[in-house]
Amino acid sequence: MTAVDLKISELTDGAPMQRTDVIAALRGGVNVRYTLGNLLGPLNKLDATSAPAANDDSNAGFDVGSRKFDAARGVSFVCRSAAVGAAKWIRMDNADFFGYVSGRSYHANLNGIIAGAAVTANSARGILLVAKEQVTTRQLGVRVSTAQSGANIQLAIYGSDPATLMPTTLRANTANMSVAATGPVMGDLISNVTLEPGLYWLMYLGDATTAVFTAYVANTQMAAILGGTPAQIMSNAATAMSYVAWNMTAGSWIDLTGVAPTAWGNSTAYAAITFTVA
Amino acid sequence: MDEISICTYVAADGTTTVTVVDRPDQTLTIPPTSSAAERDAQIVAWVEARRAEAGTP
Repeated sequence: MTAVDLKISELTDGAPMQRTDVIAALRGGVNVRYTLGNLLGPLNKLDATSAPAANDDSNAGFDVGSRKFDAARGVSFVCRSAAVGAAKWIRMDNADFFGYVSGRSYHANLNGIIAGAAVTANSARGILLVAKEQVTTRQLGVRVSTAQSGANIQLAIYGSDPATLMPTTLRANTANMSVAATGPVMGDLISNVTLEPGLYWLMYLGDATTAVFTAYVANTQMAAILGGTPAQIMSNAATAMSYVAWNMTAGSWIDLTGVAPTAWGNSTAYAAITFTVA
Repeated sequence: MDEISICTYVAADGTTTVTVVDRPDQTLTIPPTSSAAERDAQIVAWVEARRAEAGTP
């Protein structure tokens, strides 16, 4: 039995395929394949588990305009060329982002780092993390620039409310960490956490009072994402709106859903927080 | 005079490991049972010793 594709464009005079056309083909002993893709558009693959490759081409049924969704990472691609063995796909989002690599640490945002100022005890200080794709995080870290003995700090990840963008529930946190030595301090999360693409909060909390951590040069990211009052987002201070703070007892993370901040940070008295990919 | 760089790791169970960067043979491990003051006294003494060995003030 011979398999053939019937395309409307190939019918005589471009006339729509009639029932009799199919019957005639079947009587002739052929197996008629006619995919919905020919009628509705190019083939899409929306349950993929990987990014498209060069062989996701016309032989595989794809065409220009085909979509492929990598459900494993939450990333979408569109086909711009289905050339056999050399298909080209464009990442539909995050064109300036190239993926997280296992074992590497990343800063929460693209701002440079700068010497910070002494932190305050029992004040959770949050900065934003935009997860560009699904990522499993195993570790958070800070850099101590002025050490303090006898203090404990912890770091944590919170979710965010899709309407208000403010923190909600605790997703993961570290154990108590020492800041007695200058340099990087990296803390494993008590449980790894998998983040879907979206907005999260990275939080610092401790009983340190004289320790200093590196901070970000200017957190315009926070104003760009959260928005704020004109005074907050158009301050001429480089540190305007650099963190958001909530009163909290060191070592005792609380649910922040609906909890109003105690301060919108206007200094470098917070910690730039990195995360490490599992 | 050689500068030394210190990195502190804290495991999920609270075990603290202090290392001299690029010197994996120089490592201090402190169990999670120590208080913050005890833990940090060990860290400070150990780091000072490593700096003294390296000639770093």
